[in-house]
Amino acid sequence: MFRRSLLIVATLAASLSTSSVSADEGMYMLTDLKAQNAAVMQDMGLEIPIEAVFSNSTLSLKDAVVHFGRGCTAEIISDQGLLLTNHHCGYSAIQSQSSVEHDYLTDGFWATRQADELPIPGLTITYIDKIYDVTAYVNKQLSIDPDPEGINYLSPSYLEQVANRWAKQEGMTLTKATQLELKPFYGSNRYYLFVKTVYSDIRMVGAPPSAIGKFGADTDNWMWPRHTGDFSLFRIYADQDGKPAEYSASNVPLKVKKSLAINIGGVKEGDFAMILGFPGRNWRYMIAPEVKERMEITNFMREHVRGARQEILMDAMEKDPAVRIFYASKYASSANYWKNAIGMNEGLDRLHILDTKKQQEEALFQFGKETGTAAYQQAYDQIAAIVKKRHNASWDREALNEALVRSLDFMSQKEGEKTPYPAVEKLVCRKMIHLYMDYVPASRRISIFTLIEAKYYGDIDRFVDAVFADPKMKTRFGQSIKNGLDRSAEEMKVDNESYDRAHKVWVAGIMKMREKNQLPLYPDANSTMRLTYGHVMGYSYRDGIDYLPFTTLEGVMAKEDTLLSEFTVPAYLKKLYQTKDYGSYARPDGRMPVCFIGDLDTTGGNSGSPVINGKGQLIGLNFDRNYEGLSGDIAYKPNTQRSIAVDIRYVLFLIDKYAGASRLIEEMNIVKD
Amino acid sequence: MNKLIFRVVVLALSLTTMFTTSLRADEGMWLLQLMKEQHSIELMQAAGLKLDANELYNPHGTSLKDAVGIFGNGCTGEIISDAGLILTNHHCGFSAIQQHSSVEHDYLTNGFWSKNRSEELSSPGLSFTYVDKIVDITEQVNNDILEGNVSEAAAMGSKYLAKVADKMKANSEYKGKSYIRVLALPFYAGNKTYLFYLKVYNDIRMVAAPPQSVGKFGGETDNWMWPRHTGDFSMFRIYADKEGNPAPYSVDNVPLKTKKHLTINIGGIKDGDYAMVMGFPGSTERYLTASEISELMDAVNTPRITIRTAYLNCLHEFMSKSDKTRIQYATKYAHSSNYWKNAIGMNKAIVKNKVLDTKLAIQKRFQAFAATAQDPLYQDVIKNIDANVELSSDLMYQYTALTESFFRPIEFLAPISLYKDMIKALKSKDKKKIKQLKQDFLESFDGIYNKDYDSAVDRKVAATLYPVYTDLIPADKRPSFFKEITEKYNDRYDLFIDAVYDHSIMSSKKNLNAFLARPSVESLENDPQAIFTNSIVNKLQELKKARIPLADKLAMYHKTYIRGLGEMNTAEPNYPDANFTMRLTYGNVKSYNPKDGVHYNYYTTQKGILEKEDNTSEEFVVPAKLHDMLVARDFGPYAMEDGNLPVCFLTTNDITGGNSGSPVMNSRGELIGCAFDGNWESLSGDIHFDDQLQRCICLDIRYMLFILDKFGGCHHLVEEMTIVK
Repeated sequence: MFRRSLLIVATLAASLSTSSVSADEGMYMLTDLKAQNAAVMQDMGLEIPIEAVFSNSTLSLKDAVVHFGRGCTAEIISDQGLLLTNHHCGYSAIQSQSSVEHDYLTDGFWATRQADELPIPGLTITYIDKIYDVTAYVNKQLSIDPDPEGINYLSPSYLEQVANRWAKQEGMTLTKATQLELKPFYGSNRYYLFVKTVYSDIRMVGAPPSAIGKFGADTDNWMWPRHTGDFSLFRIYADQDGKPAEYSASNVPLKVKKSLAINIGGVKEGDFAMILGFPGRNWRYMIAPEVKERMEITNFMREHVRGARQEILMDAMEKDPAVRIFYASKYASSANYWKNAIGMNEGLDRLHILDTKKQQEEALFQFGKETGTAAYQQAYDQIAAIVKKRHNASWDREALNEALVRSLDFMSQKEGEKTPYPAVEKLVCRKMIHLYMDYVPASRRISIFTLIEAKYYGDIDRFVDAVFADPKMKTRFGQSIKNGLDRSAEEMKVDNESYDRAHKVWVAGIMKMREKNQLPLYPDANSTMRLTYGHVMGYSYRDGIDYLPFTTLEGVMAKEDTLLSEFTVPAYLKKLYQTKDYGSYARPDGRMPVCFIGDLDTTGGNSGSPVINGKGQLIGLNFDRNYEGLSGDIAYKPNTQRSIAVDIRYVLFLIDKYAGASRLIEEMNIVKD
Repeated sequence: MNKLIFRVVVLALSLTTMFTTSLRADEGMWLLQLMKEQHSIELMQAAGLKLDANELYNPHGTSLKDAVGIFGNGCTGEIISDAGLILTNHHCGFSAIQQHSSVEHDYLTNGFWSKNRSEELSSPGLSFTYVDKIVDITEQVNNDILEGNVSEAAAMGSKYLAKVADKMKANSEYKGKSYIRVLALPFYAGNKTYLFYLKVYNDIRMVAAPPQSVGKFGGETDNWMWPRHTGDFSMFRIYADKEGNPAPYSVDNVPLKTKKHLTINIGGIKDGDYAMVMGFPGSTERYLTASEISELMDAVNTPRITIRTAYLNCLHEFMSKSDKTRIQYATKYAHSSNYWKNAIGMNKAIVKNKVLDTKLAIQKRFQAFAATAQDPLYQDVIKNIDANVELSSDLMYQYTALTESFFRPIEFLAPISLYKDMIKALKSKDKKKIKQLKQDFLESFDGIYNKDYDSAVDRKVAATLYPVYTDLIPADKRPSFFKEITEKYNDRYDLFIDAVYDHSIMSSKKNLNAFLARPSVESLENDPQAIFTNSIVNKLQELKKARIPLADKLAMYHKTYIRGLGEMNTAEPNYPDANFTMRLTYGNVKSYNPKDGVHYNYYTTQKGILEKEDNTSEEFVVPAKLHDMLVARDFGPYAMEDGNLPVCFLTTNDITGGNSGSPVMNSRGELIGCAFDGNWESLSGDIHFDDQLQRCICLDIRYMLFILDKFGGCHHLVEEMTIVK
């Protein structure tokens, strides 16, 4: 129905290749849109010229979308630099300003005047000014530069030099706030250069209480149907001339050149939608043995090690509100990819992704035969052999990383700094050491275990006490962990280099095959700006159960559980619900919309991304993906993968009616159709 | 005395929407005999029915009703061939299947498929009951009341009604026919009385049953749930003597040549299709007041949930350890857990569906109506009911705790009338009587230690439930044996239980033989099991006795209240609460949205069976053969247009317990499914029909045929049937 025109592409693709890109798959490079995607997008419902989406020469939608911190996306929604992002993206900022007295996590925060907006030290936002395909230039440099180890093509420091050289050649003037980023894509078959401007005076403007912004918390995380008002508001400040500057009381809100109009006319199933943002990482070009490795090592360790640590933390957090605030953010970030790992493995099994991968591989081997090259078969064999060879090393490294690097917060404290909750840290530390020992056989453990055996007769409790009592022991422990990481990096160095080379060949093969089949191309996500498009739509969850594309405030009330902190509903929100005081934000049927889903291709990093309609107006705020789509980081499945957005009307309703922050509403450009 | 309580008004269909109080489209368990008089037939036809009233129910000829009967004691069955073939649910045939099962022939696990009629297994105790004739005797009852032959309350009682029924039969064409049962029952809380002539067939044989992994697929987890994938059916056959009359089992009996059987339609169903269910809904209480519903929640459901949770956990532990125990306790477990889950779901649904608010709104309207109504009794009737509840709810709570703790789960109860007789005989030294009673003791012993009884389990059940009971009921309200425990067993109930199970006459054959060798009054009077049994029976009688005056009053209040409600809503046809008499409910095939963001489709397919398949969980095992057939997708004529196999579907039909096994029919009266459950959201349906969420869960007739034909290999049975597309 609403995919009519695409069907032609899809059918053509299916007949040509089993490894076709499905209709709404793809995190496209903005520079490719015009040539590769514009026609399809316009057919699907894009009403504005593609240059209004992205252009290096005129203002476009991309100029209203920024990298928020280092891992999220935000969009500009007023000409005074007002930023909209997720609650979970602003979470550590909100937490950093919270105390037991001013508990903004629990109570929310609303600056009543601009003067009350709170500066967040360390928080930055990054504009992408220009994007260039510099593949030819980089390849030329690579051919003339000395490269004794043969790793220049991937080396960030080398690529930084090339970027500077390029800027000089182009006669670009670089200010202090300008950054150049030159990154390899498609396993370094292509290179793109990003010219960026970084602002570092970012202030917190508003955030709902966690009971709204994190409603459903871990239970609902990665789940649909969802009822989370996952948003927070910040503002970019600059000096009087609008130039990036460090925090200063005299800084003023940035007068932006581009902000997004907000459409509260509502969304319908089948509506065109697109997302601009900074997807972090995915692995769509993995071969089957790599997928297995991911499942059995990375995801396995995440599930089990994080699960054990989280249990200890949760227990401590439930007992003491101060502990809760201190660990809230740490817990959330751990739990997020803990659940992701579990869901990804379930999805990979349920959707038979290994079979899908094998079909793709067969198709590429076939393509190799047709084009008279054995390179793809060889690349495959090399990768498979490397995966096999590095098994123990990756296993040990992942165990070390999850148990003794990621989980031991106190280890990263500077000398003399006090550990806030040593009892909790000790519990975690003991458990983590035991787990590490369970997973890694004695002969392969890091060196400190020899000392534990010799000095403490294997008594972990005594060793942990010593680490906490004696800074020297802590240092030795830390050094041993570091040595362990270094050793494993060294162990894997040769393999990783061969892997990179084989992967490049493999990806090149897929690119050639797709080009031949006239299929659109996109590289794996790498925290650079991308665009994905599709439709607002539900999905079939199980036999007999369909998930609808929309949720409403009715669902919030139905989930309310006063005994569970995850599902508490603030009294004032309940009152607004009871009196149906929804202002102009209600749906035509009188209900308050909360979230919606669409078959847009997103991943971590897309959090906070704008969901934009065919007219280029903001209709939602992307914040999550469904559980059934978690294997999407490996392979996109159009029938099950959905990205989850907060309906913009719910965001505005909360700002306007719940928080009473009409001064913010007045800044925005709100339209109804 | 108001004459006609139940008003019949010619109803113009277009008017229904004008009444804000109009009955919801799908609510109603209609009396077949009133379809014309009440004009409910016209509502059905407007909804899509293509038959006239006589084709559904014809007092002077054959109609659909003659293909539907009572299966066993609590289910419905329908006739699907001219050779007496009965279709009902697997859970209705469950005790018969279990009865034939042993560790060697485990029909529960493996299913049962007779290859020819000689393999059909007679199931003693099982019956199939036709409704032969229905007579309205309201006037006669009212006359009896007017003439002072019976009080108004007693006129609703079984004692009076049995007398009337017997008298009627003696003066009818059924006189002397022992296979005809006669039954008089009150309707509309006694505002109307009907007499039923029932024809009871007793030679019922088991013909086919799928394995539990099909017939009970999803087990407890899926019970009362949608989406559902249960092949909940079994087949039996009526045998009769050569003349076609009911007869006890005999090898000479032949399959009954039935005068009516249902045509089966495998043409498929669509969302919105007309659907109706004919069957025997057991009991509903749609006319309760808010106070009575609260009583039901707090004094019945809540203690029931607490006690059954403990009981079921205890059984489960034993059953998971031994196949023998599993088979022995399967039916008991299923019975108990069914209404355990029902009680949980009902309490939740009452809250979720805001049933109390709805009832209060009705009461408010009634109060306004009462102020202007002629009958002065209407004014205070709700107040009177509330006052009655105030008095009865503690008794109800005690009653529930007592029966749920001691009468249902504990099987080791002494045959106390036998004990009394023996004491009397011993005291009077009546040797002949003593000798005869000794024989009765031996028989009674065998009765307790039947094939499905395990003393160790029963003892553990007792040990589990005693403390549960004492948690619920304060010391001064407990049966007297607790005093015994305090005084003689130093408050150690475990010691008392040991005494009951080790040192009672019935505790072992050895104990019994020792007693029979030297029977004494003393040993009978001091028998721990008898002390226990007498004590709980006395307590039960005490509670029952205390409730009688309250119940009588309540019955009268209800008669008044329901009469008033009928008057208040004169413009609409009205149906009486279910009482296990034949009813018809009509509605549509229909999907629904159980919660925000979630849509339940109206049908399920084989895909869901494979999705749920989990061979590590006994509830979700799929037989290997079935798995292969489902993967191969060779569904023959039973497939849907898209090639998938339909499994279950949903309708808006208003059903309740007793409707299990009922035929689900299309607008032409053809069989499209077999009703077997209600959804979770409908668990408050017995007290309030929820239009949005309440659904009847039906087995798609095509899945039944697929399992029977392709999986069970019983093509000969399919050939007996009349199948259209």
